[in-house]
Amino acid sequence: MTLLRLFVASLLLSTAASAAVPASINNDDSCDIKVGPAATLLLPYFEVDVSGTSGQTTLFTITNVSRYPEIAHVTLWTDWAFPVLTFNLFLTGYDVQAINLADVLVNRVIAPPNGTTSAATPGTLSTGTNPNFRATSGCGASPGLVPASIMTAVREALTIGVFHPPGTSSCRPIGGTHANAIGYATIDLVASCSDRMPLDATYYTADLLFDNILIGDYQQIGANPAGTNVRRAFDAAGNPMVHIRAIPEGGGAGSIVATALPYTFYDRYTPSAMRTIDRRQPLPSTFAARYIQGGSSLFETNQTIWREGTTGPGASCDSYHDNEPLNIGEIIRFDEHENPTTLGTCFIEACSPPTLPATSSSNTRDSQYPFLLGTDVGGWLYMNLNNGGSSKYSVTRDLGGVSAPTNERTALAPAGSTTIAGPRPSQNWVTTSLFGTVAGNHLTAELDAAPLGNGCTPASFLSVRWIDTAPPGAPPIGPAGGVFVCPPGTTLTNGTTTLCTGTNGNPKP
Amino acid sequence: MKTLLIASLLFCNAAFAAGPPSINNDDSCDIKVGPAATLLLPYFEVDTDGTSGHTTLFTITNVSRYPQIAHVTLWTDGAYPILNFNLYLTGYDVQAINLADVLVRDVIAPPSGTTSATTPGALSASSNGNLRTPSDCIGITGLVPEAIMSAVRFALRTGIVRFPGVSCNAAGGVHFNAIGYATIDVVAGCTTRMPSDPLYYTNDLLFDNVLIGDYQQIGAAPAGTSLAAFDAAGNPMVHIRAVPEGGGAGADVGTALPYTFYDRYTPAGRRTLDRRQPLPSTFATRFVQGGAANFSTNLSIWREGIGTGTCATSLATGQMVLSDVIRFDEHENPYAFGSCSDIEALCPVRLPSTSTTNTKGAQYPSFFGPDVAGWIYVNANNGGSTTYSVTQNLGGASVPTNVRTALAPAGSTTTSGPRPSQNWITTSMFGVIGGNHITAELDATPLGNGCSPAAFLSTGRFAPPGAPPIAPSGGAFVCPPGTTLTNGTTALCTGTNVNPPP
Repeated sequence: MTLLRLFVASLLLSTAASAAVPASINNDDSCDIKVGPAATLLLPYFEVDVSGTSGQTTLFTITNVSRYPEIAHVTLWTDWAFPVLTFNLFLTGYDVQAINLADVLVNRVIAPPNGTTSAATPGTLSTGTNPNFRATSGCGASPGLVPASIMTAVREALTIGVFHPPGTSSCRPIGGTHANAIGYATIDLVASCSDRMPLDATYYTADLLFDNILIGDYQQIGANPAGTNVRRAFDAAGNPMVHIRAIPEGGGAGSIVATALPYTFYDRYTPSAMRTIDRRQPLPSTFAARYIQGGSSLFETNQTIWREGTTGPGASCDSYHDNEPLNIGEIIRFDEHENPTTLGTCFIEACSPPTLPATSSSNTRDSQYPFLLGTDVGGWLYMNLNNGGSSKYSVTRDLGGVSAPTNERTALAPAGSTTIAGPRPSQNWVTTSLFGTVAGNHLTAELDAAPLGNGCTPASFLSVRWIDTAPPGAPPIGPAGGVFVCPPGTTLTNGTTTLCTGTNGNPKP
Repeated sequence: MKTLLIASLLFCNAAFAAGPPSINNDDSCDIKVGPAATLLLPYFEVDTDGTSGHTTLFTITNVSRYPQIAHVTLWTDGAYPILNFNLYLTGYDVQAINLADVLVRDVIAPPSGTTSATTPGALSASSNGNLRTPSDCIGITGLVPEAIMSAVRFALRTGIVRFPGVSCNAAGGVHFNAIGYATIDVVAGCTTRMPSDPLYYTNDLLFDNVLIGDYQQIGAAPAGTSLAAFDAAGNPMVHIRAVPEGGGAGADVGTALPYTFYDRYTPAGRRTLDRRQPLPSTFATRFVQGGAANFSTNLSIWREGIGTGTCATSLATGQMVLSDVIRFDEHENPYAFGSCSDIEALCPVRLPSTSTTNTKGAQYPSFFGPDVAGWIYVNANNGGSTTYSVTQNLGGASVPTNVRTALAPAGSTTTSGPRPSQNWITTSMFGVIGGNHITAELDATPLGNGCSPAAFLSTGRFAPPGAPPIAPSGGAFVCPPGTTLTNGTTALCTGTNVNPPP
């Protein structure tokens, strides 16, 4: 791949600039991820001290902002994207339900003292029934207490990567080894108290609902700078969960409705001929994230990164190891003087790029990140977290009015981009935790990194190769589509249009 | 009340007119965290005595390789613009501002400010075709004269403005700390114009979505208390995009947005000139108060003021009605203000353009029973104003109006003008366990976007018959064409995600 070809590909993409379409003024009508009522919530990372001694845990809270009862189906996944536990939360209209994962993983109790149930009395503004439920919701006997043998297996899966529930053969390795239980959670709106996992194709044809009515947030209690011995015991970092909307919204369980989304959050798990049946918004691949490390306040920064794995339905236990070393497309560190640093000597095709698993929290001093040189203590990171793609991923194209999924290269994976296999970039999410100490007082702030595009944006190109300067023709780092975008008929302030090569239009796949 | 229901149903029937969603970037009325042309710091609070360390930090990052100018305006809590300054950002620059440096030590970007003479980084470009030439940013002062800053501090603490030739006794509230909000815009030159000046929009404002930003409130404490000193709460700023993006300073480009963030300040005939996304009016926000960890919750609420930022309008802006606040406890029991069942009764709940209030305060319905948490529905619409506009498309011509439109349906909580007011809410939760502090700050969840019509009053003491239920904007259930609910019916398919053209 020559740099010239890269440049040409970039320009071809950019010439779509003038084909601007009118903006949508509607709700729930965009590929952009926002904080708003959604059909799926992603808790991108949890970490729980299963010994119960340090108090390190993750709390999350789900709120049903509709008057109808709803069922939130929670799935816990290992850090290698292996689902280990699912449970349901029955929410009456306008209900709010907090879950302390230490209650679940340490005390084996879901929603103490007795779990949730459809027998709960709704509030005066809430209705008693939901016509989107199955006639028999199966929520009358949702267990609040999980059997010890099952929870032991879940804890082992989340701490040593071995899953061996009673009566089954051992599955390993399906997660990393760490003292604390680490993983991520998905929370879906469903039609009944199903025990199916999102790995099961029937989950999409029988269980999943499409109403955007859940909101959620989390707090990481005992948040620490990753990999350090600095105690931040019982400090907390809090943030909204990732709100993933169904687009278009609505319809009963099993509804098959076309979506303009080229692929979806649950893509690789969906039935082979109906790859967008979940209608969940896809997540982006490029981000800008702040960091502070050092200085008089001894600042540290964690980047908590959720990443789409590559294992699909029916994957063998062995194959989950593929979700541990997921390649990272590119990370560039800018200091406060805009000096860029990279990892130095790594072509994506020619050597081992940095990797991270499906979920992790890493300190910005770690080896995944370029070194911070000089005297500055802050700046920002450009992160192209595309894992290189996978032929297990799909994109659905509209071919003469027929939706046709493909796992071949598409316009979302332009030649020369950081997707080297499959039809599109991988999905990701990043949150940033900033820590500091001033006069013995702890400063902790958690916030979403800023996506530079959305999940409908094509894979980015490598911007910088092995030297700390941009080679000629490499697309510069910037918001997806590039800068400058010029609406038809306009010029830049200086009267020129030569640099009007940017676009906010994402190509159809 | 029946009228309310009919209006609601008529609106909902538009559900089936949905068009295909946009897959593009920067192409929606929704507010997300992403590169933007304007950043809103919805609330700042600084101890101008400098003794407690209470301050607000914010950081702006330019994610493009081109140099950019970020024009920062500080406003009082009566939405009176009191100070502006420029930050010259080279390509990929990040600039942190401690407002205590500005307000206490009179220094912007210590030690000596920002300048276009800065050497750009290796990946950064040295020029930007959207900046005016020659650059007027070389001599940006880092030090603000004490006489000016003394007046700024006084205004932010007392609401009294005393500049040479300018006098205003009601520009904001009275409080020990300096309180207000800030806007940060991408501009073409190091202008000294305020956003309240119409020339700002025809000469200065740019439309490139290239800035991201966050803030930390140091010394965050439950409002009205001094607990948790030196803890910090952090969050992204509000990222307000130009839609469509781009073009040079003064570019007059049509937008599908019915109105904009800077609406009331824009030139009379071109009310959407800024192209900035409008903000929503209804929110869902969590609260925790009480319990073993002594939890407490603050809501920081930014609200669109009334008028054009003059002294005459700041007084009204300081006391704006909050249309509807319903608290739900953990058992879904709703609590409202008992004696304030409709907007015409002039509810006692009033808040200025920016504030932080504790959920135990009088602004929020009390709740009873053993629960210590739940969520709050806030319809923060101030009732509207004829100083607001909505731009309608009449036969291809953009025509602003300040009379009632489809964004202010009859019977809604907009009682004056063409639309609901704009708002933003962040939630800070505090607790203490074993002497350790727990602080988390997050955005409240908008239930619609800035293109959604004004919501109806949902309930007084209890829900009156016909009152639209609290729900995501447009209501539940939304059913795509040809679908039914799981039980095979469509009778309840009255929801919509379509916002009406104004």
